[in-house]
Amino acid sequence: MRRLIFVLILFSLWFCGDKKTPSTTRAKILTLGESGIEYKVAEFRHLTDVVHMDGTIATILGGSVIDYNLSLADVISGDPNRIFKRKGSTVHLDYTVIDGVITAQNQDSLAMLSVYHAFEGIVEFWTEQYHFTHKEIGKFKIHFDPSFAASSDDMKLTITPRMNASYFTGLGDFLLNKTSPNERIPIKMNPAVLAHEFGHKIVDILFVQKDPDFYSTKSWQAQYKIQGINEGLADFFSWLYVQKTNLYTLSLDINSMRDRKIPVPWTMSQLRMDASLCTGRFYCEGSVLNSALYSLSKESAFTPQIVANATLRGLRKLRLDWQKYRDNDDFDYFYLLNRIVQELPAESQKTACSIFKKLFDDEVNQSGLKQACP
Amino acid sequence: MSLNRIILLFLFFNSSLISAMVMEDEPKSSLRLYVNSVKIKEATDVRSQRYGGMLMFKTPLPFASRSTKKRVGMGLDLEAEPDLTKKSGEVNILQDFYTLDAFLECNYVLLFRFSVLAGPGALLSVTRANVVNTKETHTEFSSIANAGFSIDYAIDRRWEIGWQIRARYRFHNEKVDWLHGFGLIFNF
Repeated sequence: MRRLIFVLILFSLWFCGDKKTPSTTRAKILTLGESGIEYKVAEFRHLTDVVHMDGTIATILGGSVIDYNLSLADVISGDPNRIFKRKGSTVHLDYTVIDGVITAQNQDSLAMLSVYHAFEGIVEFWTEQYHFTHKEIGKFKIHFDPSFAASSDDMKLTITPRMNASYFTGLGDFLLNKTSPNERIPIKMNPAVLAHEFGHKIVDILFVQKDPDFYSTKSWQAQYKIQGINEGLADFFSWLYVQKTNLYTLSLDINSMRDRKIPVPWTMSQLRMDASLCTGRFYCEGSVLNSALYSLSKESAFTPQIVANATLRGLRKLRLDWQKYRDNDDFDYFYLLNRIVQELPAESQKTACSIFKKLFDDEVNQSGLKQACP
Repeated sequence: MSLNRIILLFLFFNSSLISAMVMEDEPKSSLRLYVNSVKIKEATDVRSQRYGGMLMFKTPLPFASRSTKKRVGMGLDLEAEPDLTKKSGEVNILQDFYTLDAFLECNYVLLFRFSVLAGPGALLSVTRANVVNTKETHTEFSSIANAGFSIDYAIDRRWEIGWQIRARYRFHNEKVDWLHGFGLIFNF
């Protein structure tokens, strides 16, 4: 009798639970909604393999280990063999299908679904509204919870950073760090953060044209300015997509995030006179640029699309200025601002000049702006 | 190796007067309580650690046992592996695992009782989602397979301590988890 019960238990256990690859493309995720970031059902359009999170625009990889001792030459090379100690492997989603909707069974799975959906929306935004091609953007990799490995003769150390997301210039990939319990909505599930990182990709395509060496300069002042421009533009591009100004703080309600809420209450001269006004170093200067473009978009004669198109064209032309003046200590925001003004319709240039002069009221930029805003 | 060391080793492995070897003179069932460290294979292809408690029942199969040293047995165990890690402030999806496993095992006694075991099981996954003020719970059953190895050491005829290591394959997710842990064993 005991043996019979045992065999019956074995038999019943073996056949319980049977997973099927989902035929649905709807999933319950964290995504943009009317009230900010909402947990709701959304449709995937580019995800072809839900289990392994692979699709036409991107693929998600887990367990990547980046060489901490990377040199600039390694980054510039864009060669994964020089950049990674472990290139990352295919992920495997843990999900269940409830009423025809893919539902994540754990945190990582929800994060991966949310991240992929956010990037789908961002890529569609740039291809449909600003005519970037999929070839220009390329199919990119999203490295989930990457680690950094440092080694010397007598030591090996692996660090898994948290609380950040970044764009890896050179590779054109994204690094989404492990979530910290201190994050409110995880940074990697915040569409505004992902749109910001994608903004760096837009800068990469138009300005450096995928050559990370193009950023290099002999002047640290110029380096500081170009970093600020890069961050300010990425923030503006993020706003263009999410159309909300407070989403960063939903993840981290800290000063450096609060200081990026636009429009910022300081001007460039105030900021350069008193650095304690803001905590984010070159991000703060970038926020002045972001505020200027945001304020211009809100003017009656403008739309976000008009300002964005002028900014994108101006950014492409900023390449010429940077090539000429990148080693000069007085390289500043006015080069980009002049380019943007020149790309705007003649009748609206005066409004743009007025906003730019008001926010970039320091001596160098005021003087430099005279070229496009006499 | 000198002769006295050879004699000592012989005594060590063969005399219950010297060592606390497993002292079974007849087949006995046992109840075991293990505390396990579990390495769960995550969706990201890395393993996360959690702890689990396991209650196990083992009984020998006398018809399949040739001696007190070599035996075949069977057993059932129940394990709870709650996910206790806070993930973030406003998005927390916790996945608890509860398993019921059945297995066959082979023992060999040489100072310790060495066992290898294998068998199928059922896994109940309980997902507790607390996402931006939305609370949901989902459950799902799936099948698993286990294979493991254990070592037991007798304190006396009733009480033993043990260590086990086990690999668990989740058919549903196509993932292998590892667990190992120490246990207290009561023979009856």
